[in-house]
Amino acid sequence: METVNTDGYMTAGYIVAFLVMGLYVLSIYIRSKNLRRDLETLEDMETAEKK
Amino acid sequence: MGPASEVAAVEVSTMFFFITIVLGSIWARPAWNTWWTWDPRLTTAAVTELIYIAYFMLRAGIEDPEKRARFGAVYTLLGGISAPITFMVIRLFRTIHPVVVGNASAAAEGGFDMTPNMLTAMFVALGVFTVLFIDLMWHRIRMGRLEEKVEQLKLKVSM
Repeated sequence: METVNTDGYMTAGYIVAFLVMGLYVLSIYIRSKNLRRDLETLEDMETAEKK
Repeated sequence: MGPASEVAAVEVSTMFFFITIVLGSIWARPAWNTWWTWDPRLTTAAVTELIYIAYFMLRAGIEDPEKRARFGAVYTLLGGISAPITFMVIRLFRTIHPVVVGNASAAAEGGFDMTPNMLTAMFVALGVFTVLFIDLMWHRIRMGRLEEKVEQLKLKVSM
């Protein structure tokens, strides 16, 4: 019986898995960075209000 | 377990389940000669992913943090039922999807036992993805706590 070459499908699978996980990690990094910036701004505003 | 852990678990699961569905589709192409078919396993998997996505829509639609946490918790408990249903469906209904773990269903047409090499690969992958899941969840929980802090400060400053 002839074996079908499925290398292309395997490569596509790896690309999809790494791409989706990479994008997710990047989204966590960007969102965390924005949140830290927001927190700093809000803390500054809170301190200014107290004064 | 607070809302931050809950959101983290659902978000990371949504991402991993999306990869599972796409990779399953890529596997199906050479195995079944089609990218997608409305087989019971594929249908329940798609429904599960949609239930996960709907969780974020529900949270986005509720402004009150307490109400959002309560509704989110109830939804997560109910939505979680879809996971065992997806696991069991190929054992309960006639399907073309192979029953790989606990291959005992006569109704599953594509049932096969794993070779020792496949078993090794599966357990290595299981271990790696478990570590990845825990790590991503930890980072997402930290981010969630930061979100909560920002939300509380926003309310405090706007008062």
